[in-house]
Amino acid sequence: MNIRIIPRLDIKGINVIKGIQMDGLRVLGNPNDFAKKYFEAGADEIAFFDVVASLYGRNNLLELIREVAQSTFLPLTVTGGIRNLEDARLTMASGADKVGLNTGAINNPKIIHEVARVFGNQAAVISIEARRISTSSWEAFTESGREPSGRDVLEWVKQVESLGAGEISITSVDKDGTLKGPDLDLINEVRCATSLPLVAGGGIANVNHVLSVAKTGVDGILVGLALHKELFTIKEAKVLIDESGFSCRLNFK
Amino acid sequence: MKVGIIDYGASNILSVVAAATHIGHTPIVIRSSSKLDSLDALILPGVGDFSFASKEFSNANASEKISEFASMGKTVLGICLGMQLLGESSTENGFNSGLGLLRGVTKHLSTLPGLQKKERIPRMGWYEVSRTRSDSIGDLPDKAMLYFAHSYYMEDVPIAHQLFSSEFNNVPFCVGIRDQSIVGLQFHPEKSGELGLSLLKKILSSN
Repeated sequence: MNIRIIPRLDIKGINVIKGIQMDGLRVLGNPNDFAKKYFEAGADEIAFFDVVASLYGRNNLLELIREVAQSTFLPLTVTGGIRNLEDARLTMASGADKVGLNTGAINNPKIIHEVARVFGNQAAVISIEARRISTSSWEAFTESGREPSGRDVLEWVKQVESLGAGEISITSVDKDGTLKGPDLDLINEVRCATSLPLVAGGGIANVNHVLSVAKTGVDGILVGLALHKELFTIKEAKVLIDESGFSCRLNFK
Repeated sequence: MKVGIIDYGASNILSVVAAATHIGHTPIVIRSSSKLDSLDALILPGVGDFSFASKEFSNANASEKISEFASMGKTVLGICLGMQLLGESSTENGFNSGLGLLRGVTKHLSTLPGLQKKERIPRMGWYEVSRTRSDSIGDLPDKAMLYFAHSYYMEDVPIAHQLFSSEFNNVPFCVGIRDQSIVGLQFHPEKSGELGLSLLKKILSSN
């Protein structure tokens, strides 16, 4: 298994934005420019999160994904606003390779099976936004970290695996955008709770943070703000992963 | 070159169209019932479920048509599920027949003979691919990594048709097939960066 480095692009309207703990959003730039840059820099996949996911904004998002897919020849995962099979179909038809389900799956867990049945389970990614509620438990949030769902993260992870999910993507809302380091307890617990491929992120600011997440046994690492602010490069993170005895895709040309 | 890309309702058509355009071809999205006469090559893309996708091909005498197309020496490329559909059958969501244009049967990865440890399925991400025989389209650089996203694989592919192999928990298995002008790839060249695009280019111009 080669650990994937996955730039995370939070999208609002036509822009890449970033908030602290998913709040207080700032505009960072054009999503297609970011995607191209990360493609050239050796990203293994690109993850788009539509943080508003309003009905109005969806056409913008899909148009944007279509544009990115013209020149970024990497797997694209698109999360946000997918409530039913038709939403998933439109997202896949716009160039997504995988759809990320959060609010849609929590409100209607059957959608996981429906998406897997048509697109294969490798296309059904469950995106979980977790807030810590005690030393060893986390609650899943919906609507980009804004709404509590009442679901325990570890229970939810086990449930979605049985419903046909193909991958879990977990972000610590507490850490997201803070650059204060990942919630390793959360990632470790989720890693133990599922045998599905797992990608994780939230709070990463430097290559040592990347390595600490790699050590939990995840398959992919989501990095947002730290890459957008050029605090380190994808190559630097991969070199450290490789030198530390883990595998990754170093030669990408 | 006019490249027909078959749309069967559940696939990443747009990415394949973008890749074909990028390497200088003219992609044309068609249905399995469409005429193939004016095309120079054909791609069956693949992101989806076999039992769902095979319905599209069940009543359109697609098999004879594609077979006839390939017998003129024109390239037919199946990607991921597209490769599996070109094969004999699959056990994904019940037993279903494929087009029977490539020899080999599709089975769940957990049944891969020799697999010792329980591995994570779907097998998702970048894996090393190596050439298993000399072929005009088969040269890949050392430690070439390509993108996979699959839970099923093709077994019982005749050795003479095997082109590429990869490993799942140290167990090698076939991930690339060529039988004359019909080619199948388990990985996604359209999603595998520059390396994938250059391989796609070689395959489409191999006949």
